[in-house]
Amino acid sequence: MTDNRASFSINPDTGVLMPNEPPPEIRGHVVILNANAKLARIIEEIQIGSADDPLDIIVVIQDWNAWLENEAWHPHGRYQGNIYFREGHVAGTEDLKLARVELAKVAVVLADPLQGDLADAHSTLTAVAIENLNPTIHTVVELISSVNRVHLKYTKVNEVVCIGELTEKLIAQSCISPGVKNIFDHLLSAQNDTTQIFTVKIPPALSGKTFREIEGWTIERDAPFVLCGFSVMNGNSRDALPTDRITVLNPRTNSEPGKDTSMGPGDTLVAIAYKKSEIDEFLSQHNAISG
Amino acid sequence: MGEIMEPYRGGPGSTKLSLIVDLFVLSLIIVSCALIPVEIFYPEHHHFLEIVDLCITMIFIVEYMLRWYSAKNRIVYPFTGYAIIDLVAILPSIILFASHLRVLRLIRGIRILRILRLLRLVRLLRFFRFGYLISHAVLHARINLSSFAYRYRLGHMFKLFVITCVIWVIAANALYYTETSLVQLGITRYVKDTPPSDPGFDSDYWHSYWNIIILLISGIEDKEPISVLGRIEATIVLIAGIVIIGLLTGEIVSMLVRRLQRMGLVKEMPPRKGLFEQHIVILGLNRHLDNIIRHINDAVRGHHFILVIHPDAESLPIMDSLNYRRVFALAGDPSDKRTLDKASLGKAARIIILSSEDCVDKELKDNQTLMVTIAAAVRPRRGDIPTVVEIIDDENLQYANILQDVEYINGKQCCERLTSQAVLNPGITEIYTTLLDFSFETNEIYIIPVPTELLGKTFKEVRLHFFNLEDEDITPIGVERASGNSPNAKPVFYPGIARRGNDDPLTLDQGDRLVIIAYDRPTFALIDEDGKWSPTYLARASERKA
Repeated sequence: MTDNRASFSINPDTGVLMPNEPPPEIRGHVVILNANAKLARIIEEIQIGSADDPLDIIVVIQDWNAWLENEAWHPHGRYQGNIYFREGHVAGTEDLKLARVELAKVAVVLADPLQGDLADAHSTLTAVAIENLNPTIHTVVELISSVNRVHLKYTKVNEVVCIGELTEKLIAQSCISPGVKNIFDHLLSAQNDTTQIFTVKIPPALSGKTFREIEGWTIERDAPFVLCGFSVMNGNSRDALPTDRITVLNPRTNSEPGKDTSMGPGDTLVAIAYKKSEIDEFLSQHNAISG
Repeated sequence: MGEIMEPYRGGPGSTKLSLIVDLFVLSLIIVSCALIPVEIFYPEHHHFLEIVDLCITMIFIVEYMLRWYSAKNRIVYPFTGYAIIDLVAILPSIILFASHLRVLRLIRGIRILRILRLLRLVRLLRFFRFGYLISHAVLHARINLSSFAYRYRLGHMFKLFVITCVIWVIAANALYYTETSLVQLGITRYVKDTPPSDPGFDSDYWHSYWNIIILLISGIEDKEPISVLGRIEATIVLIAGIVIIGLLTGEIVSMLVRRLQRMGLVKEMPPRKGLFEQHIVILGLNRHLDNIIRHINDAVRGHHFILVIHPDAESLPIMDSLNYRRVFALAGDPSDKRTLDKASLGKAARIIILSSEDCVDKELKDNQTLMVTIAAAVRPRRGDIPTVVEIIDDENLQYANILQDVEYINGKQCCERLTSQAVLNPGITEIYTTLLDFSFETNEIYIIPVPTELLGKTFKEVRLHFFNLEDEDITPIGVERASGNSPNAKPVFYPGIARRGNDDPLTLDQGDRLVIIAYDRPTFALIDEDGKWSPTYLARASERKA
């Protein structure tokens, strides 16, 4: 399925844009809707963070002229994953299908720069359109104003990133606890020499064990990660919304869910590590807690 | 002499001798106040107690004269608050010794006002248990009273009251002597047709006070003055009364109109210098302000005052009365030295500098923000005050390392990183949102001194130590240590995970700080009583709960 609208990709050898269409067999990729000043850095971070298993990215750009005019929005560099840029309507079914949304793993809806502070409405509707096309896709939506977060609560949007809210919370945190901001900078960066927070599915061998048992086991075995919490589903998983998942950091001793809560098959562990592959490798090699 | 008579503040400029002087005066105040009830219950020892009181008064007089002599500004000193309190404490005893004036014995009881001198020794509270709490309560009371007095224009009312009292006393005495002594001496004559037996306006000294106050307030004449001069004086008093009532009415109306105009707006900062201490100053105003105030209040629960400085600060609306209880506004340029002096910036616990919404261009916005940062940061002040600055363009982050104790927040950069993380690690935004919230139910990242028993241990041993802890839920995630030998070197975070191929385990050394995730600040890392007196100490709601 093709059309006459602009489509480019980054040449992996030169890092320069060249006319190209995404291949029809592309799957498990990331779709980014809209281009703004954050696009370049987001692509860079995704590529650095997925160096072990490169992710392809398709960017759907509504205002192609604005994108061409803003050189600073263009990613510069040679990446292992393929990066495509398509002109198209970000909420249009046809253009979303051309971006292979049905086969994508993650969709990121960025705020439309031309809408300014009123971009949240378009972003929300775009996210709903994507979820309608592919209910299993993991959607991340950028909001300008935190007051609009409540409207996304009853959609199937998985995650919301609000620049205003983030700024406010970081300012308050830096004010109350000077120096903590450096820790967040470290954890948020996808660079190779920094640790990040990862979520990993409970392996079958650890299913039924409590968090306390798993944590003690990882410390004794010198695991290359620090376990700091877990995430469990609350309610019937078929009808549950993404917001029905409960994440518990630093579980308490006498509470439910807590340190002595048994982990189930659909639960995930929250850990800090340099690479996710190191967590997976450790868990697969040490696949049972000895009695 | 100046250092000894200067009140002890506990800082490097205070001498031990000044502390001894303050403690000696404190004990004399308590003894002299205790003498009053002792005199009532043991009247047989009245003569001895009078001698003791005389000795104490003589010491207070000498102390007053010495403090006046060693004051930095001897002309202003007698009019300062503490000097007036000292004088009020001494005067009743001095007047008492003119004991032939029986009526003045009635004011013996005023000696109890000496207890006000204890206010001077609030600084010595640091040596007492709960001293910080009492001192902080006194600070809050002082600020709230000043704010109340400013909002209701009580300062103006008080001046009017003093002027009225002065006119009252002068007029009562003047008219009494005119109607009695001056008439008898023939200095002024009777008004025509006045019978010689007429007792006149005031035959009784104390009655003249009553007559004058009635004349002043209501303009009603109880009796006519019998002398010409007396009638002239009464006319002046009538006119003064009209002016006073007019002024009083004007003040009340002005106060009511101002209150109406300011309904729903943030309280104005009272114009009293040096009022605030350990407060949080926010320089600038933008749409993030309300949420920042809310988050700060979640953390400190109103224990600290917040002062917002911006030319439009006084028209800031109150979004939530609970969160804005301790918020004050000061209209002024946040980069202006005089404005920053009024805000007692040198005594602030924290400074936040927000990007302005006045400019559209982000380069201009950041230039303005950096200018305010320079104005706030490069001032002589008590220690380095942690400062947070909001930057719009991440190109300006390269200025991050130039000024000490300044942290720069670039929302765009954080948003980019978090978005990428959300792609790479689904579910991550909720975790970061949780870590950034201030509440009793959520965790935060704390950076705390390493407990002595963990020094020299490997990070694995540290993790095991906290894993086995039953009383508190703490997850250590790494160590922070200075990046270089210089005292100004910025600290670096070392995660507590060994890198592949690196057999050298992370061990905790002296000077390191432990980075943990916890619900509250651990009990072993709570700030001690001495630390609370630090100008940059912020009392957390969770610590007060403990």
